[in-house]
Amino acid sequence: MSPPRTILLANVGTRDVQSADGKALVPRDAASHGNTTDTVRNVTLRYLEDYQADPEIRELITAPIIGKVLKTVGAQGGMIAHASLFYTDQDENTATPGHYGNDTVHVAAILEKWLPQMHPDMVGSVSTHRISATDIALSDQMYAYFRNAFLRDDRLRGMRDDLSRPTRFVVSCASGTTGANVGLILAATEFFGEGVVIMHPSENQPQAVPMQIASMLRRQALRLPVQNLLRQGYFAAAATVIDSWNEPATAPLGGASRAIQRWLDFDDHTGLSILTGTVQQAGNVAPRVRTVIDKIAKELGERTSTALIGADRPVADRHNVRPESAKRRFTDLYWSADLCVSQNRLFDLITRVHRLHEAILRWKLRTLLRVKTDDIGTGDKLATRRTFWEKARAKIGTGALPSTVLDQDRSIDIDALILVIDRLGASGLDQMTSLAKHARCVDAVRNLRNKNIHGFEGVSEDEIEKLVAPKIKGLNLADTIGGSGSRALMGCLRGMLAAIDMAPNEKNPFIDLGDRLADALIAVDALENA
Amino acid sequence: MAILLLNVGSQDLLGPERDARDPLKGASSSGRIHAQTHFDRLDRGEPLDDVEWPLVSKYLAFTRSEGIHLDRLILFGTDQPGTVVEQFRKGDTIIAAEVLRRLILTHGRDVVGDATVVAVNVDGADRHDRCLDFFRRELPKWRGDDDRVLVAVTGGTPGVNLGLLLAAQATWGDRVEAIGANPSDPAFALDVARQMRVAFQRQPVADLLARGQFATAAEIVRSWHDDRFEPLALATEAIRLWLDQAHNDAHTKVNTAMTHEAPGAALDLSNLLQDLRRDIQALEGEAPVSRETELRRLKDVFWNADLCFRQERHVDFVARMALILERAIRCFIEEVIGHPVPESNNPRKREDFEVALEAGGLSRTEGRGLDYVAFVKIAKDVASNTGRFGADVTARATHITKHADALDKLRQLRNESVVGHRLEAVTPKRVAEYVDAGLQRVFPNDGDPRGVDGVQAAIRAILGGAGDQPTGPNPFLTYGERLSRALLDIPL
Repeated sequence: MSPPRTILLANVGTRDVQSADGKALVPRDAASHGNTTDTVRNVTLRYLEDYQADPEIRELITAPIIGKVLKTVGAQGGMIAHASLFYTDQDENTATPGHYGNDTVHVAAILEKWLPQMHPDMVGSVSTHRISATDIALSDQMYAYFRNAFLRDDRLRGMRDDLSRPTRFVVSCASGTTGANVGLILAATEFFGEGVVIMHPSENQPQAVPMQIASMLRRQALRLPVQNLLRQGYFAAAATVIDSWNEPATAPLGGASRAIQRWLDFDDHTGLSILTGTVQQAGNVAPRVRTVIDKIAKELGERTSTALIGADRPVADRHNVRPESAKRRFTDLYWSADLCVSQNRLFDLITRVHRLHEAILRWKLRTLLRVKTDDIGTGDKLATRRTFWEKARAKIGTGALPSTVLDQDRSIDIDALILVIDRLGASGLDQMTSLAKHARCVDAVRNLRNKNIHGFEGVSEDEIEKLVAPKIKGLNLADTIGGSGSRALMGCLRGMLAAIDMAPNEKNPFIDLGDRLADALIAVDALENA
Repeated sequence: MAILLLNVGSQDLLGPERDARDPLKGASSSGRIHAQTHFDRLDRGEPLDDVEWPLVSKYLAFTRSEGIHLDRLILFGTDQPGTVVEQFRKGDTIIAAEVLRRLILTHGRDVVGDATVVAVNVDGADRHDRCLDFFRRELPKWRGDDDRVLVAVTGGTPGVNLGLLLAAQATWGDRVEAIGANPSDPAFALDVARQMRVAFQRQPVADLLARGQFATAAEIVRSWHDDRFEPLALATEAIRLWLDQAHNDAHTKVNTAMTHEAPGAALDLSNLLQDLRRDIQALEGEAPVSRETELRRLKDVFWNADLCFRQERHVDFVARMALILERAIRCFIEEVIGHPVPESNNPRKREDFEVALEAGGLSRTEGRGLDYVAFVKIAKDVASNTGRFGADVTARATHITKHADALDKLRQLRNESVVGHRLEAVTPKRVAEYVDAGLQRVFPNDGDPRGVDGVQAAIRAILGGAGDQPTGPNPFLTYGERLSRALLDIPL
């Protein structure tokens, strides 16, 4: 692979060309002090004209600021293959008073000629570019100018995208207005990415000093989108970005984020193991980060120790929800579904809603009737069914059940579960009526779920609304269930949980953890100092 | 709650000496020596009527006119360490900041609750990197429940201003508003804070798109509130809907995107939208759809599953692969007997299907559910009937059923997961535990694919047998890469 080539990007300032004895050609701010004759524009034009007439004039000129950049690049064994210089040349009628005289158009023209002549071994070619912004003092306008300029420059883009030969884009940031330099640094860092090196030709240093600002900008700027990802519950995506920083201070946050993602997929063991590994690897974890990690570890630990479906348990027993873990599991499922709503993952939403719907119904009857309700899979399913119906009839009374379910071998499916709960409600258990009503609303999406598990139906908000709204209206729940579509569906699910005394809190705990991680991410920088 | 953060610069305190050439311009009193004089005068109880503080006055006037009450105002003054040469330390503004604080609390009480001075003790206030490092450590200490965070970026060096603005955004997010001022105008709002967010979020969003994280990318693009990105946001949302199989909604999004005036340089985006519409359209249709459409959908779900796995959504990967398993065999049966498998339990349609089976020389299903098990049985019937169906069809049937048998336990894993009837965790390891024994039968050699790779290989084989094997790169990722490029190419 060829060695990297170096491109210089620099704003041209009023002090970029000086006399050979190191003095400025024009006193600083001459123009703004009302001197309209000896302005930078006028004086440098005279120099340029003299230079064009007599090439020997070059010996009377120096370029100390760019010269320091050349020294640094040279000391690193490189040379400037091309220099893009950006100058100002404002409209005399619209420029801010005094600023017109400070325009650097002729300074740039002198440098364009002078640099290759005086430094033929260090500078390949030079191009100059007029900054076409309304106000060169405003960083927003300058950023837009530079970004568009880079976008239109096929040569620069080509070098950026040429993977066969890496290019360093050296930005010199000591000349020009504050706005112009902020704009140039931002646009170059964004456009040329990892290839940017910002150099500061400091007045008290013989060479320009390379600064870490570009990589700091990129990394620091990512803090905000990552915070947003965490606050919105996109834990896997956030973890991917955090991991890419390769920073010891933030690495535990990446691990925590990935652990929550595993938790959301009910993979508690892996989540806990990721968390433990991350903390061990990090060694010293900032206190605020530690607090969040401890909270996640505690939650995951409780789930693995009272596992509903631990890997060490026999498959036949895996469906049985243990009382101590039921509420935790149901709320996990509820809030993971809630996250699907806020992230518009509607297919995943209805699979989770359906799963929770069925789990609540089975759990309620199992604990109320003290009977198994799962007649699918291994075991004597007929015996399970017969025991179930016997106990259900004993509780409800045979007469209260329609003839279609008098069959003792009838499958204990969702229709049967809702029916029994409904009849229990009619026989005096008030909460059962509420549970049955809300369950019927949620059940409206069962067929949609099945069509997506076994086919290509597709899920949309409109479809969910079309299915759920009539049920809510028909069962007179419209006053208590707000929202529409997926939100209304979640309202029905909340109603089911409330009917079994497991109403979820108001805030999604996963979002709460995302907020804590985002806050910890902000705090990490401050904590480094603590 | 509102807070104003500002760097105190050399033009923030203007002393009594007037410049003869420019009567509007005062002498800078922000450096240590002059500021100390004013500080001492304040200490003696003297008013500073002859000292102007034009920029800060303009900022306060701005907040008044906007109806903002500043609960806190933080003045950052440079206070470089002794290692910095005296020439530069003389210009430090820490004392000027304290003078300003007192002036503000005397004259600006109507809009400022409290004012605090913070020393910027960096070694080189002209070093952008050191300034940013300072602010990223300092600002989180000042984070509160501020609805509005104003950052004045006129005073101070470019280094401190850039550092302050960027660190403020990392601390307060999109609540940050930049304001500026110049000698001739009142203070004004600058768009640079939002632009900076776009500038630095654009590359990460491009990366997200390239990785197929469409929902996340769309969320962030929307947060920019910039019409130039609207068609791209709509295209991204369309792909997200497509991934949710909501083809009609996805199609509508693309149509809406096409009504927007495309940004000048975004020709690629126009082409992309047309391709997107074509690809989504090809998947639309009410059941029963044509065999070609069904095969396209199966391939589509294959790539959808691939994306789920890449994004660590393992449950969704298994659910989608199990769906393909069932539908691919179903599609093959429909092709062989030339009759659709009914989607519902409609008795008449069911009977028509049974008749079609018999007409094809296959056994009736004897009333059992038309599910995966039934489909495999029918396909095996086909495989064993070379005389009737010919060598090609029976070979395909054998190929399909062999690979389907290898993946039989994949369905069990799905059924035990959250998308089925339990809450079993789905991990790559568990996928391997469930399927590797079966895969050994069809891929017997060392080095043959196992686990998730094996599932993908077997499903590819099944889809090949059904009529259209997925090849090439994942089309969703191809779209992601195209969107990524288009995003970076949108001019400002």
